[in-house]
Amino acid sequence: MDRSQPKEGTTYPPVPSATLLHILEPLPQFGLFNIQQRHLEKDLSTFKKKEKDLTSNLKDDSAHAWLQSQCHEYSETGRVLCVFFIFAIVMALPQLARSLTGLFVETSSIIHQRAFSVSAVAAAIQKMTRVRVVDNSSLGNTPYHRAPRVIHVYTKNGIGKVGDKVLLALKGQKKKALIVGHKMPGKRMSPRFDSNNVVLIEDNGNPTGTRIKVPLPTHLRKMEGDYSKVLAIASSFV
Amino acid sequence: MAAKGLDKCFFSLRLLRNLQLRNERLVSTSACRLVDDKFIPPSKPVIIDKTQSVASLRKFLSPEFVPPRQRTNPLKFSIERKDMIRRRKVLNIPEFYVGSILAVSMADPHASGKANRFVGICIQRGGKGLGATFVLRNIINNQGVEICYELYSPRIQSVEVLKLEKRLDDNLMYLRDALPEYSTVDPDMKPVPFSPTGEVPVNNIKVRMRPKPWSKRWERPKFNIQGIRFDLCLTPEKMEHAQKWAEPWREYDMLKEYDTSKLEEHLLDEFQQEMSK
Repeated sequence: MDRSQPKEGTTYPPVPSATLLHILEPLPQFGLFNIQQRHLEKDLSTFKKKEKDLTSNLKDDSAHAWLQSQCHEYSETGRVLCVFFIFAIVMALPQLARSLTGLFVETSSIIHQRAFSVSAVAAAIQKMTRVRVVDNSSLGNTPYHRAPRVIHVYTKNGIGKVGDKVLLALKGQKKKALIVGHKMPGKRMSPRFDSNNVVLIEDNGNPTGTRIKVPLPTHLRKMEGDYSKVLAIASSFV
Repeated sequence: MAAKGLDKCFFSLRLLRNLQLRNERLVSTSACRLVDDKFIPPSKPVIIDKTQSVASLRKFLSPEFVPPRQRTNPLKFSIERKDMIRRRKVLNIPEFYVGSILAVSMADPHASGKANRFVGICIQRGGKGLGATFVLRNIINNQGVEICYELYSPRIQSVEVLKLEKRLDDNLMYLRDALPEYSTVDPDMKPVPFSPTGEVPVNNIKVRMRPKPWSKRWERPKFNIQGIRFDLCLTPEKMEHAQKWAEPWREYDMLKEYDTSKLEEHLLDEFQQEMSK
């Protein structure tokens, strides 16, 4: 999933970002801060709810473990935000201040790496791959704390390439989708995309959204009969 | 080929001039004096042949001509080279390097108008012989797209170089992990004029990267990348840690030596002879 750009149509709640920007400005790691800012605002709203749980449940080691478990889904900046919030709150409690200096040192490493590993692409799209929904449907673009994942691939082998139908787990619901581009290199003259793109589809093959801004591969046009409506809403081909 | 064309131009020029002189002699001089007091020489015809681009006068041999060091019969490579030259006589494949911006037009039965045009920056040139490929990368509608084209495929209709330049590395795969501004190329870009003689301009740009993890560990000496600003994304301790994977003995490995300078000169002569036929 391409996390450097916000999803289309996402609206973020307003946030007093001035103070946070002031805190985070001196850090050189945040190259393109403008892009990350929207992630900040998005993650902040979810974190505000967790603040209250934090102060009641805070213990020395479990805080760190909790952080690691909770933070892995979020962007690096969101995680740093979370840490700063905790730090600000906890600094008020002098007993825990000493224990959490270790945590603060840890944050610089969190900035640099995610907590999960990303291996090279082995086979295009299979079960449990996180995909990017590229149409403008509300189901695909509303933010959720879990990325949409493939739970079944409708092919003989479990490997999905461009033009195959898959079943997604999206916002707690099951939804069928059509693969329109993957990261794995394919045939020689065919395009390879930087993200695994998917278009939400109904059971009869009609697309859920009304427009696809992302370029689609031209060899999708072979399936004129089944997915002609999906091709009709596409804006550009590559 | 271009030299022949130029010769023909000169020959036709001479013919024209001779004809002009003869005509002037036939007309009487007295009549001329009455019409013109001062002799205005005819303007020299300036021939600008825009249909054919000026062939590069640089000595450039495309890297896919150089055979790899293998145990296969050299006959295979020479036959392949003949076929490559046959294809190049039909389709003009210009000189380009990794880092240049190309526009490729490819035949596509599914595309509108049968031809599919893609503009992008060349990030890799691979393969030898007829299977030589190059990968073009561009970012369209915030989506990164890469297409691996086969140079000698009959589906390719034209290859144009919009901007000829070299970069600090031979392989720009790290652009996948760099900020998107470094891979965006305007699809309606006008071709930047470049001189057919002289050195190819080298773009010393150092690219800024996205936060780690990257698809490959580009800081490791195995990749030997000069074109990334490591000081912005990695601490000096990490750079030192990456040097653990340095293999300093490889430069002294005699079995890996493959000096292609003489082979290249020989192949270049052969190539130029074949192309001029």
